[in-house]
Amino acid sequence: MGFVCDNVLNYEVVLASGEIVQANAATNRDLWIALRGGSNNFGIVTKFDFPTFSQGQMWGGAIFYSPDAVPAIFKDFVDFAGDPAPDKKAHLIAGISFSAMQTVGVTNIYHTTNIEKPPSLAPFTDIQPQLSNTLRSDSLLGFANEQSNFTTDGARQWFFTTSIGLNLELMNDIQRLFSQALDPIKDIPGLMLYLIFQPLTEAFLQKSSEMGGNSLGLSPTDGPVVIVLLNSVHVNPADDDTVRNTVLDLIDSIDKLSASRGLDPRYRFTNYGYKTQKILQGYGPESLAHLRATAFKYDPNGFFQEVVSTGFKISHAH
Amino acid sequence: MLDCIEDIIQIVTMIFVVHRLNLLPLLALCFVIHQAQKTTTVDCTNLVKSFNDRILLPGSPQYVASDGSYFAAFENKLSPSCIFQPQSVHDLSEFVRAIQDPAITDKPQVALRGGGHTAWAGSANIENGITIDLSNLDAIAISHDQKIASIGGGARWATVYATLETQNLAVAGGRVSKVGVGGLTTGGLCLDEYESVQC
Repeated sequence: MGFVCDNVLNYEVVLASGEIVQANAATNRDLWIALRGGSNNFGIVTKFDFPTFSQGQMWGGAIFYSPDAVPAIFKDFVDFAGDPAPDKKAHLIAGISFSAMQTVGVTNIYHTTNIEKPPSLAPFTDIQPQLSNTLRSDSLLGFANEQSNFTTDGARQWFFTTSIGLNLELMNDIQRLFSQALDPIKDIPGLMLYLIFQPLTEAFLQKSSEMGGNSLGLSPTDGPVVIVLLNSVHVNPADDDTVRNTVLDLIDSIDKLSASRGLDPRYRFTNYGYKTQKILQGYGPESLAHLRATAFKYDPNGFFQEVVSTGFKISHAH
Repeated sequence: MLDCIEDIIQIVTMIFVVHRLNLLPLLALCFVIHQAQKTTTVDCTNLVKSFNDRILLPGSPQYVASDGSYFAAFENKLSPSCIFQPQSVHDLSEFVRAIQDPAITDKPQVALRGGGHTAWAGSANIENGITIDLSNLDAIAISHDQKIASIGGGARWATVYATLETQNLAVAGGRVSKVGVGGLTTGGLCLDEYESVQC
């Protein structure tokens, strides 16, 4: 089904003028496309229409491994994400979780049909040494609630992001960079740092391209793209600068390394972006031009740039 | 401004007693510092007249609940002059017009908040401006033929999935239940796609 935004049939939007409009394929189509990735630069969306589908129980959960398992996890991740004929009902996120108590490898796997240990995901259930897992049948809500419980609201936590091409050697090198970055800060009170990889396969991008269009500037030939999430948690305000700067430096070094190997896609996932990161630029100049033109058309006075100044603003995306 | 003057007076009193300094340059410094600070506290009293209990003022339990309900400490820390919680899209439309009234000389800065899950300070909250909190726009309606779900911009995926589950239905949405629909969807990316790859 492509990206979530690809699925939106209609948006109800309050414009800067106060006017309430609908944006869909037939009406205000440019606004409809812009809102697919364009964030809060055009209006306030008060309603989203999505198509529904039948969904019963799913199978999957989280698996935690010894850090020694990480090379195997990465290898199977690359195989999964690079599969030319993927199991479209299988879902995977993989990475490393650091805390003072322990470092673990982690995968989150899901299958939308209620099959226990489907072949596409079996490699991940088989990797050893494994510490524990939450694999089970559950509803979509049950799995989504489990995800919510991995974090605590109100903590000093940040998300940061970058993207890489799909490549095992690069992922292994990123693990080394991650360990090196952690070394000087590992005694910071309450520090947790997650390095998470999420694949956008060619099949996924192909599907996305068939759904009317969006503003993300991605095409199937860009695939596979791997979204990298760095999620930090710490306790003391005095450590804010150190944690933030360490992670931003780590991302810099990841970007330099991936660029040197031609494995640096321009796309960035908006919702994992930190405020100083160039997120909207990742959509590419063509999409940005369209976003600017659309913003000017629906918000000629720049209300959503100057007054509603929060979030990622296209007026700052140079 | 007053805090600054009070602090300066305390320090200066100590110094004056010892050195008999002239106060004027220090007061001038206070004035300059105050002018240089960009925070503009918004006077929300006129908005209260028009929007009643949809304007939450600092100190009220509703304000405290809203302002303290973000994912990250960095957002919880910010305190808007007031919070606007529309009950309907028409409220919001009226509000957008009201804050652009030419009669208002100090135009407020506005933050827009759905689920409040973006972590960095200033992504969906603001110091001294006005935060629009969309949480009450969270209704979910399923079409008669069950083919379309209309989801309010302030809803979270938890409510979406819970509501649709009663009909054995789902939509393609976020993989974390406490995340809001608005930011995730307008930010583009999926986090849990059925019939396709999770990202």
